[in-house]
Amino acid sequence: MNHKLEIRGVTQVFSSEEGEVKALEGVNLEVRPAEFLCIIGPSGCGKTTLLRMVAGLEQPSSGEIILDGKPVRGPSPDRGMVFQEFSLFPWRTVLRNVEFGLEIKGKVEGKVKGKVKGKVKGKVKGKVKGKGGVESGKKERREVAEKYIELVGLRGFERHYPYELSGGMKQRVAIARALATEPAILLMDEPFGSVDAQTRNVLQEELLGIWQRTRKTILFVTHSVDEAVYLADRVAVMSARPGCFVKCLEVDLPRPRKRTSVEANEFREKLLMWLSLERSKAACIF
Amino acid sequence: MRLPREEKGLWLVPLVAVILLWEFSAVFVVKDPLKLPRFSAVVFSIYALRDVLIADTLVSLLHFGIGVGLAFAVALPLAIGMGWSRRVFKAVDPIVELLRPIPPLAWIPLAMIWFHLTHYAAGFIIFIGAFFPILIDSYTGFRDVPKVLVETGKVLGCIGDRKQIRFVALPYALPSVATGTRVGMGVGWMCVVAAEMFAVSDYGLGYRLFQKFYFLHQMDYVVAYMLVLGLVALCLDRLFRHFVEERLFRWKKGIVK
Repeated sequence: MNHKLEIRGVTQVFSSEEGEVKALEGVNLEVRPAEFLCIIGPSGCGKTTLLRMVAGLEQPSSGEIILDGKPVRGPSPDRGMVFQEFSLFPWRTVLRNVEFGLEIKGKVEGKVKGKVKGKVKGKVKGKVKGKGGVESGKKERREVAEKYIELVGLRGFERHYPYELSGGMKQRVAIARALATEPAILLMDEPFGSVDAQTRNVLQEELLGIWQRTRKTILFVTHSVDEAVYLADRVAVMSARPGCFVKCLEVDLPRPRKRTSVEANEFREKLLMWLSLERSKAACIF
Repeated sequence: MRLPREEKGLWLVPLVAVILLWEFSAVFVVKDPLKLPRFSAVVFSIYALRDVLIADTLVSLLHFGIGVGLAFAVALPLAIGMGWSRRVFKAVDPIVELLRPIPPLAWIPLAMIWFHLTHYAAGFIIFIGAFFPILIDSYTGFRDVPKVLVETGKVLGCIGDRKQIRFVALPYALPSVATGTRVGMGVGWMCVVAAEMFAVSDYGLGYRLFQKFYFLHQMDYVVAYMLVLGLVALCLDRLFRHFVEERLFRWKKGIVK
Protein backbone atom coordinates (compact mmCIF):
# COMPACT_ATOMS: atom_id res chain seq x y z
CA MET A 1 0.00 0.00 0.00
CA ASN A 2 1.26 3.47 -0.73
CA HIS A 3 1.71 5.40 2.44
CA LYS A 4 0.59 8.97 2.66
CA LEU A 5 3.35 9.96 5.01
CA GLU A 6 6.54 8.21 5.96
CA ILE A 7 8.85 9.12 8.75
CA ARG A 8 12.15 7.28 8.61
CA GLY A 9 14.92 7.22 11.16
CA VAL A 10 14.30 10.76 12.31
CA THR A 11 16.63 12.01 14.98
CA GLN A 12 16.66 15.46 16.47
CA VAL A 13 19.57 16.77 18.45
CA PHE A 14 19.90 20.29 19.68
CA SER A 15 22.66 21.94 21.62
CA SER A 16 21.98 23.74 24.83
CA GLU A 17 24.07 25.00 27.73
CA GLU A 18 24.29 21.54 29.24
CA GLY A 19 25.62 20.07 26.04
CA GLU A 20 23.73 18.09 23.45
CA VAL A 21 20.13 17.12 24.06
CA LYS A 22 18.50 14.41 22.01
CA ALA A 23 14.83 15.18 21.57
CA LEU A 24 14.06 12.35 19.21
CA GLU A 25 15.95 9.26 18.20
CA GLY A 26 15.24 6.77 15.47
CA VAL A 27 11.61 7.70 14.93
CA ASN A 28 9.76 5.65 12.35
CA LEU A 29 6.14 5.90 11.35
CA GLU A 30 3.91 5.21 8.40
CA VAL A 31 0.61 6.97 7.97
CA ARG A 32 -2.04 5.53 5.69
CA PRO A 33 -4.15 7.70 3.39
CA ALA A 34 -7.35 9.08 4.93
CA GLU A 35 -6.39 7.66 8.29
CA PHE A 36 -6.86 9.41 11.60
CA LEU A 37 -3.67 8.75 13.53
CA CYS A 38 -3.06 9.99 17.05
CA ILE A 39 0.37 10.43 18.54
CA ILE A 40 0.30 10.18 22.29
CA GLY A 41 3.07 10.41 24.82
CA PRO A 42 4.21 12.00 28.06
CA SER A 43 4.97 15.72 28.23
CA GLY A 44 8.31 16.65 26.74
CA CYS A 45 8.71 13.45 24.77
CA GLY A 46 9.13 15.27 21.50
CA LYS A 47 5.77 14.68 19.85
CA THR A 48 5.27 18.37 19.13
CA THR A 49 8.80 18.58 17.74
CA LEU A 50 8.02 15.66 15.45
CA LEU A 51 4.83 17.26 14.22
CA ARG A 52 6.62 20.52 13.57
CA MET A 53 9.17 18.63 11.50
CA VAL A 54 6.42 17.11 9.40
CA ALA A 55 5.07 20.64 8.95
CA GLY A 56 8.51 21.75 7.86
CA LEU A 57 8.94 24.28 10.64
CA GLU A 58 11.96 22.41 11.97
CA GLN A 59 14.55 20.20 10.33
CA PRO A 60 15.58 16.80 11.68
CA SER A 61 19.24 16.27 12.46
CA SER A 62 19.03 13.07 10.47
CA GLY A 63 16.38 10.95 8.85
CA GLU A 64 13.70 11.68 6.30
CA ILE A 65 10.11 12.71 6.12
CA ILE A 66 8.30 11.85 2.94
CA LEU A 67 4.80 12.96 1.95
CA ASP A 68 3.17 11.49 -1.14
CA GLY A 69 6.56 10.28 -2.24
CA LYS A 70 8.22 13.68 -1.98
CA PRO A 71 10.62 14.69 0.80
CA VAL A 72 9.59 17.47 3.14
CA ARG A 73 11.95 20.43 3.00
CA GLY A 74 10.08 23.33 4.48
CA PRO A 75 6.61 24.59 5.37
CA SER A 76 3.96 24.50 2.69
CA PRO A 77 0.18 24.85 2.49
CA ASP A 78 0.22 21.24 1.38
CA ARG A 79 0.63 20.32 5.03
CA GLY A 80 -1.97 22.23 6.96
CA MET A 81 -1.46 22.76 10.67
CA VAL A 82 -3.62 23.74 13.61
CA PHE A 83 -1.76 24.88 16.69
CA GLN A 84 -2.74 24.58 20.31
CA GLU A 85 -2.60 28.32 20.92
CA PHE A 86 -5.15 30.55 19.29
CA SER A 87 -3.54 31.52 16.04
CA LEU A 88 -6.07 33.54 14.14
CA PHE A 89 -4.86 36.81 12.66
CA PRO A 90 -6.60 39.28 14.95
CA TRP A 91 -6.78 42.07 12.36
CA ARG A 92 -8.70 39.93 9.89
CA THR A 93 -12.32 38.85 9.98
CA VAL A 94 -13.23 35.18 10.04
CA LEU A 95 -13.72 35.19 6.28
CA ARG A 96 -10.42 36.93 5.60
CA ASN A 97 -8.63 34.55 7.96
CA VAL A 98 -9.94 31.50 6.14
CA GLU A 99 -9.08 33.12 2.82
CA PHE A 100 -5.51 33.78 3.88
CA GLY A 101 -3.89 30.70 2.40
CA LEU A 102 -5.81 31.16 -0.83
CA GLU A 103 -4.82 34.79 -1.01
CA ILE A 104 -1.13 33.90 -0.68
CA LYS A 105 -1.50 31.17 -3.27
CA GLY A 106 -3.12 33.63 -5.61
CA LYS A 107 -0.26 36.02 -5.16
CA VAL A 108 2.20 33.29 -6.03
CA GLU A 109 0.37 31.96 -9.04
CA GLY A 110 -0.77 35.34 -10.22
CA LYS A 111 2.59 36.42 -11.56
CA VAL A 112 2.88 35.61 -15.25
CA LYS A 113 5.63 36.51 -17.62
CA GLY A 114 5.62 36.42 -21.37
CA LYS A 115 2.71 35.71 -23.69
CA VAL A 116 -0.56 34.77 -22.11
CA LYS A 117 -3.76 33.83 -23.81
CA GLY A 118 -6.93 34.50 -21.91
CA LYS A 119 -8.73 36.79 -19.45
CA VAL A 120 -6.44 37.81 -16.66
CA LYS A 121 -6.98 39.78 -13.47
CA GLY A 122 -4.25 41.25 -11.34
CA LYS A 123 -0.57 41.72 -12.13
CA VAL A 124 0.71 40.34 -15.39
CA LYS A 125 3.93 41.05 -17.18
CA GLY A 126 4.11 40.51 -20.91
CA LYS A 127 1.61 40.21 -23.70
CA VAL A 128 -1.94 39.09 -23.27
CA LYS A 129 -4.20 38.09 -26.09
CA GLY A 130 -7.73 36.90 -26.59
CA LYS A 131 -10.35 35.33 -24.36
CA GLY A 132 -10.20 32.35 -22.09
CA GLY A 133 -8.51 31.37 -19.06
CA VAL A 134 -6.51 32.25 -16.06
CA GLU A 135 -8.70 32.01 -12.98
CA SER A 136 -8.74 35.17 -10.92
CA GLY A 137 -8.88 35.47 -7.20
CA LYS A 138 -11.50 37.25 -5.27
CA LYS A 139 -14.78 35.63 -6.06
CA GLU A 140 -13.49 32.10 -6.16
CA ARG A 141 -11.54 32.63 -2.95
CA ARG A 142 -14.61 33.86 -1.16
CA GLU A 143 -16.66 30.91 -2.29
CA VAL A 144 -14.10 28.38 -1.16
CA ALA A 145 -13.69 30.13 2.16
CA GLU A 146 -17.44 30.27 2.72
CA LYS A 147 -17.69 26.58 1.97
CA TYR A 148 -15.23 25.71 4.72
CA ILE A 149 -16.71 28.18 7.16
CA GLU A 150 -19.99 26.39 6.70
CA LEU A 151 -18.27 23.04 7.11
CA VAL A 152 -17.10 23.97 10.58
CA GLY A 153 -20.53 25.29 11.45
CA LEU A 154 -19.80 28.99 11.56
CA ARG A 155 -22.06 30.28 8.84
CA GLY A 156 -23.13 33.83 9.66
CA PHE A 157 -19.89 34.67 11.45
CA GLU A 158 -17.90 35.60 8.37
CA ARG A 159 -17.64 39.27 9.27
CA HIS A 160 -16.78 38.76 12.91
CA TYR A 161 -13.35 39.49 14.33
CA PRO A 162 -11.46 36.93 16.40
CA TYR A 163 -11.84 38.96 19.57
CA GLU A 164 -15.58 38.47 19.28
CA LEU A 165 -15.33 34.69 19.18
CA SER A 166 -15.19 32.07 21.91
CA GLY A 167 -12.24 29.68 22.18
CA GLY A 168 -14.09 26.85 20.50
CA MET A 169 -15.14 29.06 17.62
CA LYS A 170 -11.60 30.31 17.16
CA GLN A 171 -10.27 26.79 16.80
CA ARG A 172 -13.01 25.95 14.35
CA VAL A 173 -11.95 28.91 12.22
CA ALA A 174 -8.36 27.70 12.48
CA ILE A 175 -9.45 24.31 11.17
CA ALA A 176 -11.41 25.88 8.32
CA ARG A 177 -8.42 28.00 7.46
CA ALA A 178 -6.07 25.02 7.37
CA LEU A 179 -8.49 23.03 5.22
CA ALA A 180 -9.18 25.85 2.77
CA THR A 181 -5.88 25.29 0.98
CA GLU A 182 -6.91 21.65 0.52
CA PRO A 183 -3.77 20.16 2.04
CA ALA A 184 -2.64 16.59 1.51
CA ILE A 185 -2.46 16.07 5.25
CA LEU A 186 -3.79 17.91 8.29
CA LEU A 187 -1.51 18.24 11.30
CA MET A 188 -3.03 19.04 14.66
CA ASP A 189 -1.06 19.79 17.80
CA GLU A 190 -3.39 19.42 20.78
CA PRO A 191 -5.83 21.77 19.09
CA PHE A 192 -8.44 21.43 21.79
CA GLY A 193 -6.08 21.87 24.71
CA SER A 194 -7.03 25.50 25.27
CA VAL A 195 -10.78 25.07 25.51
CA ASP A 196 -12.94 23.80 28.33
CA ALA A 197 -13.82 20.13 28.66
CA GLN A 198 -17.36 20.33 27.32
CA THR A 199 -16.41 22.37 24.29
CA ARG A 200 -13.59 19.91 23.77
CA ASN A 201 -16.00 17.00 23.47
CA VAL A 202 -18.19 18.90 21.05
CA LEU A 203 -15.23 19.90 18.91
CA GLN A 204 -14.00 16.31 18.83
CA GLU A 205 -17.35 15.15 17.47
CA GLU A 206 -17.36 17.92 14.90
CA LEU A 207 -13.83 17.11 13.85
CA LEU A 208 -14.81 13.52 13.20
CA GLY A 209 -17.69 14.77 11.04
CA ILE A 210 -15.34 17.02 9.10
CA TRP A 211 -12.86 14.19 8.71
CA GLN A 212 -15.47 11.83 7.38
CA ARG A 213 -16.75 14.40 4.93
CA THR A 214 -13.36 15.52 3.62
CA ARG A 215 -11.52 12.17 3.83
CA LYS A 216 -8.37 13.98 4.95
CA THR A 217 -5.37 12.23 6.46
CA ILE A 218 -5.04 13.58 9.98
CA LEU A 219 -2.03 13.40 12.26
CA PHE A 220 -3.18 14.40 15.72
CA VAL A 221 -0.92 14.95 18.71
CA THR A 222 -2.41 14.74 22.17
CA HIS A 223 -1.63 13.72 25.67
CA SER A 224 -5.22 12.88 26.47
CA VAL A 225 -5.94 9.17 26.40
CA ASP A 226 -9.68 9.80 26.19
CA GLU A 227 -9.23 11.96 23.15
CA ALA A 228 -7.11 9.36 21.38
CA VAL A 229 -9.56 6.57 22.14
CA TYR A 230 -12.46 8.58 20.81
CA LEU A 231 -10.87 9.94 17.66
CA ALA A 232 -8.19 7.65 16.29
CA ASP A 233 -7.99 4.79 13.82
CA ARG A 234 -4.55 4.09 15.20
CA VAL A 235 -2.65 5.37 18.19
CA ALA A 236 1.13 5.65 18.11
CA VAL A 237 2.63 5.73 21.60
CA MET A 238 5.82 7.69 22.03
CA SER A 239 8.40 7.09 24.71
CA ALA A 240 9.85 9.75 26.98
CA ARG A 241 12.83 11.70 25.77
CA PRO A 242 14.63 10.85 23.58
CA GLY A 243 11.35 10.03 21.88
CA CYS A 244 10.62 7.13 19.61
CA PHE A 245 7.53 5.05 19.03
CA VAL A 246 7.17 2.11 21.39
CA LYS A 247 3.85 0.82 20.10
CA CYS A 248 1.22 1.38 17.49
CA LEU A 249 -2.25 0.23 18.45
CA GLU A 250 -5.18 -0.27 16.13
CA VAL A 251 -8.38 1.09 17.56
CA ASP A 252 -10.96 -1.29 16.21
CA LEU A 253 -13.91 0.22 17.93
CA PRO A 254 -16.77 0.79 15.51
CA ARG A 255 -17.85 4.31 14.72
CA PRO A 256 -19.76 6.28 15.93
CA ARG A 257 -17.97 5.59 19.19
CA LYS A 258 -19.37 5.67 22.65
CA ARG A 259 -16.92 7.22 25.06
CA THR A 260 -18.06 5.10 27.95
CA SER A 261 -18.52 1.70 26.33
CA VAL A 262 -16.87 -1.37 27.78
CA GLU A 263 -14.63 -1.81 24.75
CA ALA A 264 -13.57 1.80 24.92
CA ASN A 265 -12.59 1.36 28.54
CA GLU A 266 -10.63 -1.77 27.77
CA PHE A 267 -8.72 0.02 25.11
CA ARG A 268 -8.15 2.93 27.42
CA GLU A 269 -6.60 0.59 29.94
CA LYS A 270 -4.32 -0.96 27.34
CA LEU A 271 -3.20 2.45 26.20
CA LEU A 272 -2.52 3.62 29.73
CA MET A 273 -0.43 0.57 30.31
CA TRP A 274 1.74 1.26 27.32
CA LEU A 275 2.13 4.85 28.32
CA SER A 276 3.39 3.96 31.75
CA LEU A 277 5.77 1.31 30.55
CA GLU A 278 9.41 1.92 31.15
CA ARG A 279 11.18 1.33 27.90
CA SER A 280 14.70 0.95 26.65
CA LYS A 281 16.11 1.65 23.23
CA ALA A 282 15.38 -1.90 22.19
CA ALA A 283 11.68 -1.42 22.78
CA CYS A 284 11.38 1.10 19.97
CA ILE A 285 9.66 -0.39 16.98
CA PHE A 286 9.21 0.19 13.29
CA MET B 1 -22.31 76.51 40.28
CA ARG B 2 -23.97 73.16 39.65
CA LEU B 3 -21.72 70.25 38.70
CA PRO B 4 -23.00 68.27 35.68
CA ARG B 5 -24.13 64.76 36.51
CA GLU B 6 -22.70 62.73 33.65
CA GLU B 7 -19.06 62.72 32.59
CA LYS B 8 -19.79 64.48 29.34
CA GLY B 9 -19.29 68.07 30.38
CA LEU B 10 -16.91 67.30 33.19
CA TRP B 11 -13.88 68.85 31.51
CA LEU B 12 -15.57 72.25 31.34
CA VAL B 13 -15.60 72.69 35.09
CA PRO B 14 -11.86 72.77 35.82
CA LEU B 15 -11.29 74.76 32.64
CA VAL B 16 -13.69 77.52 33.61
CA ALA B 17 -12.33 77.50 37.13
CA VAL B 18 -8.77 77.98 35.88
CA ILE B 19 -9.80 80.79 33.56
CA LEU B 20 -11.60 82.61 36.34
CA LEU B 21 -8.66 82.16 38.65
CA TRP B 22 -6.31 83.45 35.99
CA GLU B 23 -8.36 86.57 35.33
CA PHE B 24 -8.72 87.24 39.02
CA SER B 25 -5.00 86.87 39.81
CA ALA B 26 -4.02 89.01 36.83
CA VAL B 27 -6.27 91.84 37.79
CA PHE B 28 -6.12 91.84 41.58
CA VAL B 29 -2.97 90.02 42.62
CA VAL B 30 -0.17 90.39 40.07
CA LYS B 31 -1.39 93.62 38.54
CA ASP B 32 1.48 93.64 36.04
CA PRO B 33 0.54 92.95 32.41
CA LEU B 34 4.14 92.01 31.71
CA LYS B 35 4.30 89.28 34.31
CA LEU B 36 0.79 87.94 33.82
CA PRO B 37 -1.42 89.27 31.03
CA ARG B 38 -5.15 89.03 31.60
CA PHE B 39 -7.06 86.18 30.00
CA SER B 40 -9.41 88.68 28.41
CA ALA B 41 -6.45 90.57 26.98
CA VAL B 42 -5.10 87.36 25.53
CA VAL B 43 -8.42 86.52 23.91
CA PHE B 44 -8.58 89.99 22.44
CA SER B 45 -5.06 89.56 21.06
CA ILE B 46 -6.08 86.46 19.19
CA TYR B 47 -8.78 88.47 17.53
CA ALA B 48 -6.45 91.39 16.82
CA LEU B 49 -3.80 89.12 15.31
CA ARG B 50 -6.16 87.00 13.31
CA ASP B 51 -4.67 87.72 9.89
CA VAL B 52 -1.04 87.10 10.64
CA LEU B 53 -2.09 84.24 12.91
CA ILE B 54 -3.46 82.23 10.01
CA ALA B 55 -0.33 82.75 7.92
CA ASP B 56 1.88 81.82 10.85
CA THR B 57 -0.10 78.69 11.61
CA LEU B 58 0.10 77.54 8.01
CA VAL B 59 3.84 78.06 7.82
CA SER B 60 4.35 76.22 11.09
CA LEU B 61 2.23 73.39 9.77
CA LEU B 62 4.40 73.31 6.70
CA HIS B 63 7.52 72.90 8.80
CA PHE B 64 5.69 70.32 10.84
CA GLY B 65 4.62 68.43 7.75
CA ILE B 66 8.14 68.34 6.35
CA GLY B 67 9.59 67.20 9.64
CA VAL B 68 7.05 64.52 10.52
CA GLY B 69 6.72 63.29 6.95
CA LEU B 70 10.46 62.77 6.67
CA ALA B 71 10.68 61.25 10.11
CA PHE B 72 8.04 58.69 9.19
CA ALA B 73 9.60 57.90 5.83
CA VAL B 74 12.99 57.25 7.39
CA ALA B 75 11.90 55.65 10.66
CA LEU B 76 9.49 53.07 9.27
CA PRO B 77 11.87 51.13 6.99
CA LEU B 78 14.52 51.26 9.69
CA ALA B 79 12.03 50.01 12.26
CA ILE B 80 11.05 47.11 10.02
CA GLY B 81 14.71 46.16 9.73
CA MET B 82 15.40 46.52 13.43
CA GLY B 83 12.25 44.77 14.55
CA TRP B 84 12.44 41.86 12.17
CA SER B 85 16.14 41.06 12.23
CA ARG B 86 18.06 40.62 15.47
CA ARG B 87 21.26 41.32 13.59
CA VAL B 88 20.15 44.63 12.20
CA PHE B 89 18.93 45.61 15.64
CA LYS B 90 22.20 44.79 17.35
CA ALA B 91 24.13 46.60 14.64
CA VAL B 92 22.09 49.79 14.59
CA ASP B 93 20.77 50.15 18.13
CA PRO B 94 23.95 51.57 19.69
CA ILE B 95 23.96 54.43 17.17
CA VAL B 96 20.27 55.09 17.77
CA GLU B 97 20.70 55.12 21.52
CA LEU B 98 23.64 57.47 21.20
CA LEU B 99 21.77 59.99 19.09
CA ARG B 100 18.45 59.77 20.84
CA PRO B 101 19.23 61.77 24.01
CA ILE B 102 20.64 64.71 22.05
CA PRO B 103 17.98 67.41 22.36
CA PRO B 104 16.57 68.76 19.09
CA LEU B 105 17.72 72.21 20.14
CA ALA B 106 21.31 71.08 20.04
CA TRP B 107 20.90 70.29 16.35
CA ILE B 108 20.09 73.91 15.47
CA PRO B 109 23.65 75.01 14.61
CA LEU B 110 24.09 72.07 12.25
CA ALA B 111 20.68 72.67 10.74
CA MET B 112 21.59 76.28 10.07
CA ILE B 113 24.82 75.34 8.37
CA TRP B 114 23.35 72.45 6.36
CA PHE B 115 20.07 73.99 5.30
CA HIS B 116 20.65 77.72 5.82
CA LEU B 117 17.60 79.81 6.52
CA THR B 118 15.06 77.73 4.66
CA HIS B 119 11.93 75.83 5.61
CA TYR B 120 14.00 72.68 5.53
CA ALA B 121 16.13 73.83 8.43
CA ALA B 122 13.01 74.12 10.56
CA GLY B 123 11.67 70.88 9.18
CA PHE B 124 14.90 69.18 10.16
CA ILE B 125 14.62 70.13 13.83
CA ILE B 126 11.07 68.84 13.88
CA PHE B 127 12.33 65.71 12.15
CA ILE B 128 14.78 65.09 14.98
CA GLY B 129 11.99 65.45 17.50
CA ALA B 130 9.54 63.16 15.74
CA PHE B 131 11.96 60.50 14.54
CA PHE B 132 12.82 58.59 17.70
CA PRO B 133 9.34 57.98 19.10
CA ILE B 134 8.18 56.73 15.69
CA LEU B 135 11.23 54.49 15.37
CA ILE B 136 11.07 52.95 18.81
CA ASP B 137 7.35 52.27 18.99
CA SER B 138 7.41 50.87 15.48
CA TYR B 139 10.30 48.49 15.94
CA THR B 140 8.81 47.33 19.19
CA GLY B 141 5.65 46.48 17.30
CA PHE B 142 7.59 44.46 14.73
CA ARG B 143 9.66 42.74 17.35
CA ASP B 144 6.62 41.65 19.31
CA VAL B 145 4.90 39.78 16.49
CA PRO B 146 3.94 36.47 18.11
CA LYS B 147 5.87 33.51 16.78
CA VAL B 148 2.69 31.48 16.41
CA LEU B 149 1.33 34.01 13.91
CA VAL B 150 4.50 33.95 11.82
CA GLU B 151 4.48 30.14 11.82
CA THR B 152 0.80 30.07 10.97
CA GLY B 153 1.65 32.26 8.01
CA LYS B 154 4.40 29.86 7.01
CA VAL B 155 2.20 26.76 7.04
CA LEU B 156 -0.31 28.63 4.92
CA GLY B 157 2.29 29.36 2.28
CA CYS B 158 3.51 32.76 3.46
CA ILE B 159 7.19 32.04 3.15
CA GLY B 160 10.08 34.47 2.90
CA ASP B 161 10.78 37.66 4.81
CA ARG B 162 9.04 39.95 2.35
CA LYS B 163 5.73 38.11 2.37
CA GLN B 164 5.85 37.57 6.11
CA ILE B 165 6.46 41.24 6.76
CA ARG B 166 3.76 42.27 4.36
CA PHE B 167 1.05 39.86 5.42
CA VAL B 168 1.77 39.16 9.07
CA ALA B 169 4.22 41.55 10.72
CA LEU B 170 3.07 44.84 9.28
CA PRO B 171 -0.64 44.43 10.02
CA TYR B 172 0.22 43.29 13.53
CA ALA B 173 2.58 46.18 14.15
CA LEU B 174 0.37 48.87 12.64
CA PRO B 175 -1.22 49.99 15.92
CA SER B 176 2.26 50.40 17.43
CA VAL B 177 3.33 52.39 14.41
CA ALA B 178 0.25 54.60 14.85
CA THR B 179 0.99 55.17 18.52
CA GLY B 180 4.61 56.02 17.78
CA THR B 181 3.53 58.42 15.06
CA ARG B 182 1.10 60.13 17.39
CA VAL B 183 3.75 60.57 20.09
CA GLY B 184 6.26 61.66 17.45
CA MET B 185 3.80 64.24 16.19
CA GLY B 186 3.46 65.57 19.70
CA VAL B 187 7.18 65.91 20.24
CA GLY B 188 7.65 67.30 16.73
CA TRP B 189 5.14 70.04 17.31
CA MET B 190 6.81 70.99 20.54
CA CYS B 191 9.96 71.65 18.53
CA VAL B 192 8.23 74.24 16.36
CA VAL B 193 9.34 77.14 18.51
CA ALA B 194 12.92 75.93 18.61
CA ALA B 195 12.83 75.17 14.90
CA GLU B 196 11.60 78.63 13.97
CA MET B 197 13.64 80.65 16.40
CA PHE B 198 16.20 81.74 13.83
CA ALA B 199 14.05 83.33 11.18
CA VAL B 200 13.96 80.61 8.61
CA SER B 201 11.13 82.60 7.09
CA ASP B 202 9.08 85.67 7.87
CA TYR B 203 6.25 83.61 9.21
CA GLY B 204 5.70 80.89 11.75
CA LEU B 205 4.11 80.67 15.18
CA GLY B 206 7.43 80.00 16.85
CA TYR B 207 9.26 82.64 14.91
CA ARG B 208 6.84 85.39 15.75
CA LEU B 209 6.46 84.39 19.34
CA PHE B 210 10.17 84.43 19.98
CA GLN B 211 11.55 87.08 17.69
CA LYS B 212 8.79 89.61 17.61
CA PHE B 213 6.49 89.46 20.53
CA TYR B 214 8.96 88.51 23.20
CA PHE B 215 11.42 90.99 21.82
CA LEU B 216 8.89 93.77 22.03
CA HIS B 217 7.56 92.64 25.40
CA GLN B 218 4.11 92.08 24.08
CA MET B 219 3.34 89.39 26.59
CA ASP B 220 -0.36 89.20 25.84
CA TYR B 221 0.60 88.34 22.26
CA VAL B 222 3.09 85.81 23.54
CA VAL B 223 0.54 84.01 25.67
CA ALA B 224 -1.97 84.19 22.83
CA TYR B 225 0.45 82.37 20.55
CA MET B 226 1.22 79.86 23.29
CA LEU B 227 -2.45 79.04 23.45
CA VAL B 228 -2.64 78.69 19.70
CA LEU B 229 0.31 76.32 19.76
CA GLY B 230 -1.52 74.20 22.28
CA LEU B 231 -4.81 74.28 20.43
CA VAL B 232 -3.31 73.32 17.08
CA ALA B 233 -1.54 70.39 18.73
CA LEU B 234 -4.80 69.30 20.29
CA CYS B 235 -6.58 69.45 16.94
CA LEU B 236 -3.85 67.49 15.17
CA ASP B 237 -3.91 64.85 17.85
CA ARG B 238 -7.67 64.45 17.85
CA LEU B 239 -7.87 64.33 14.06
CA PHE B 240 -5.16 61.70 13.93
CA ARG B 241 -6.87 59.63 16.56
CA HIS B 242 -10.20 59.85 14.82
CA PHE B 243 -9.10 59.06 11.30
CA VAL B 244 -6.25 56.69 11.88
CA GLU B 245 -6.42 55.05 15.26
CA GLU B 246 -10.13 54.39 15.25
CA ARG B 247 -9.73 52.25 12.20
CA LEU B 248 -6.51 50.50 13.19
CA PHE B 249 -7.32 49.81 16.79
CA ARG B 250 -10.63 48.07 16.25
CA TRP B 251 -9.12 44.62 16.44
CA LYS B 252 -7.02 45.43 19.46
CA LYS B 253 -10.15 46.06 21.49
CA GLY B 254 -10.46 42.48 22.44
CA ILE B 255 -6.85 42.09 23.49
CA VAL B 256 -6.00 45.27 25.29
CA LYS B 257 -8.83 45.60 27.74
